[in-house]
Amino acid sequence: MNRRTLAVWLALLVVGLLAWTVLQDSGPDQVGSIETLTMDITDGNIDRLVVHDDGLEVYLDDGGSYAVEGVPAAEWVSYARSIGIDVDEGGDPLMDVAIIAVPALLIILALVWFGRRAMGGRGMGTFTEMRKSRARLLAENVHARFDDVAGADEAKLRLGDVVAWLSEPERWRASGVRMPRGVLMEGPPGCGKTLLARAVAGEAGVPFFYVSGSEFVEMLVGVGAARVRDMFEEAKKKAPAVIFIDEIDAIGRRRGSGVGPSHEEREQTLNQLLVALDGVEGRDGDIVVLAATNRADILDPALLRPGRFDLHLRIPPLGEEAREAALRIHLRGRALDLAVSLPTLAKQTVGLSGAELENLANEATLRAARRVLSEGGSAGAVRVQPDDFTHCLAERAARQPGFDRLDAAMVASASQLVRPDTPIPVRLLLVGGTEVTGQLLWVDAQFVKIAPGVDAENGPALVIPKMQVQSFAADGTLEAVDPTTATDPWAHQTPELA
Amino acid sequence: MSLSLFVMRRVAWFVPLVLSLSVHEWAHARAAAAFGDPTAEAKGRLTLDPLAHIDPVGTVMLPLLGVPFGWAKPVPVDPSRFSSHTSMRLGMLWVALAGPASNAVMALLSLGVYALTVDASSRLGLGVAAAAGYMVILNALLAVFNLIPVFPLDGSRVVDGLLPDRYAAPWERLKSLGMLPLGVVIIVPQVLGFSPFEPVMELVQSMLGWVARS
Repeated sequence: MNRRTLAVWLALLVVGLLAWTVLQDSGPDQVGSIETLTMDITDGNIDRLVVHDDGLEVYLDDGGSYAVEGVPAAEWVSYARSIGIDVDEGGDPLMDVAIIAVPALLIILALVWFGRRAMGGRGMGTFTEMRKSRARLLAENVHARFDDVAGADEAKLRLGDVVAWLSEPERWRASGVRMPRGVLMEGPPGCGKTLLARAVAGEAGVPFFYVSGSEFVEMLVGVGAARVRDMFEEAKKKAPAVIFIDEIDAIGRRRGSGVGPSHEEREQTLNQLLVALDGVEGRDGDIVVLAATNRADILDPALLRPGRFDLHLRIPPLGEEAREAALRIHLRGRALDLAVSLPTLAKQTVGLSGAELENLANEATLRAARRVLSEGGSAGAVRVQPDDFTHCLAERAARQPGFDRLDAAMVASASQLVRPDTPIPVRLLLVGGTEVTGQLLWVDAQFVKIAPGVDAENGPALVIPKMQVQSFAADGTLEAVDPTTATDPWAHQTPELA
Repeated sequence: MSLSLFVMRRVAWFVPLVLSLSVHEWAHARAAAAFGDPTAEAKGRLTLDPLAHIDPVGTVMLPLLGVPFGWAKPVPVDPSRFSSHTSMRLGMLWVALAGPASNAVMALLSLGVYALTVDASSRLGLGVAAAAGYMVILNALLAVFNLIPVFPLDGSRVVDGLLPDRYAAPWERLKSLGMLPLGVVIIVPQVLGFSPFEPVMELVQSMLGWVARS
């Protein structure tokens, strides 16, 4: 039992026993009956009466006293008073206040207590807390280097200028160069945008502030803007520095594209970001803002104009060489069997992003390690075999939404777009009685895309709403299609269904 | 009634309740720990400290408002962490029983204190005796009330442990009603105007009377 427990118990015991002791003296020990009381009243022995909610205390002229249980009637009390007995009805004015005030106080306390808990115990000062930037300062010596990023050679070249400028701002400024204030990196997910940003800070050896666009978003108007201000102030203290705003489309969406309070908040945040980028608030330019998005098309034009994000870099999906380089990077420090050929592997991984390649490398190594370790081998004996990669790639392919059977396609397409591995010849009977035959290109939740006729590769394709399709069968034979209904997918749409 | 008397009465009811509930919750935590489940201890509940167990509404507000009903924060127990030689079913049964059992022990201890102090002549002695008498009644009621086999009372955990598997489905369906059955069990006797705890009270009263006379 620790000291706090002991203290609480002692305090409670003392308080409790005290209360019980005091209560022992709260009335006469004797209990009298109503008959005794009536007798005493007629005899005129009574000095005074104290009336409670549930009984009476009777004090006699000779100093004796007793209690009577039961509630006296109001007429009875007024009669006793009329014959000259001192009646104390006990109504303490403080009591009336307390009956209202004490419960109210307790309820308010409880509400405050719950409120604090709901705020995660942050308690007071929450509002100033909220206005703080959520940007995280990564260690000043960021270890990422350009070498860690595969591909994106053009982007590396352009970012190299930024690095050179961040390393020696004075020299470049003296030669009259204004460096890009902001660099917007755009590209599909998993192609190394975040890594490139870290590499810029790492190469230049400057602090790296990382924040995600969605972290500015809050229901309260003005909070996001305050966070932007706070972030730039923090960065200025550490200048030269790199600020990286990931997923900037969360705040950078074109203004005026919505209504309601949350849009107002987002627009304020964006305005503040624009102003901060402009450098009107005395930004001396030693801070480079990097931003990443995969939706550059929805960004506000004001964000993209020179002086804000004046360098736009497209980070492309990895080419074959880049994939080989990425594999080399991710397999660094992992023991490979001599039979593994990275160029071959790069050829097999068309369309995989850097992140997916990293995952592939890890999965393959995991498989190798599982094999070796389960046979009791040591960790040093783990060698990744070509077979491990083939297996993982096959597993990946199995996860792709491809299919070769029609029923599988119809089930899978309820939630996603599915494409057959090779176009399947199908025969469609539409609601109007028209029959369409052709090759099924894809199916999704609402539409079916068919390439009618024999020349599936080059002919016009039809997108037919599933609603219009009465029956649907895989078929080897191909027939001619009525072009009028086939080109108007809504021709036989029944209005009730729409 | 004067204000000070009113406050005194509330305090006099409140303190034994808080202490009894603390012991009750500690007993659950202690039993779980004995079977090897460290969950309660990790949450800081393996302690007699009332501050760890009180629920601001159920233990403080309602009793101080004079509502004759209350609860403490339940102690978390994870039967899957019991040591391997304790079955989850029987372990939970004993952990559930530990709470009411602790109240029974408290009632007996208080009865002892009552017997020692009931003939006292000093006011403090009489106060202690009155408090002890109240503790006997309170703990007897707590033990009996918690053994009512209605979710979420301890008694329902005892049923969990003893009920044959073929009755598990209807029992689970009953439990899925949540607090409703408990509400019915509490309110129906109130409406019908009888107290199911009357026999307990009478038994305890007669016990106290017997102790006082002998």
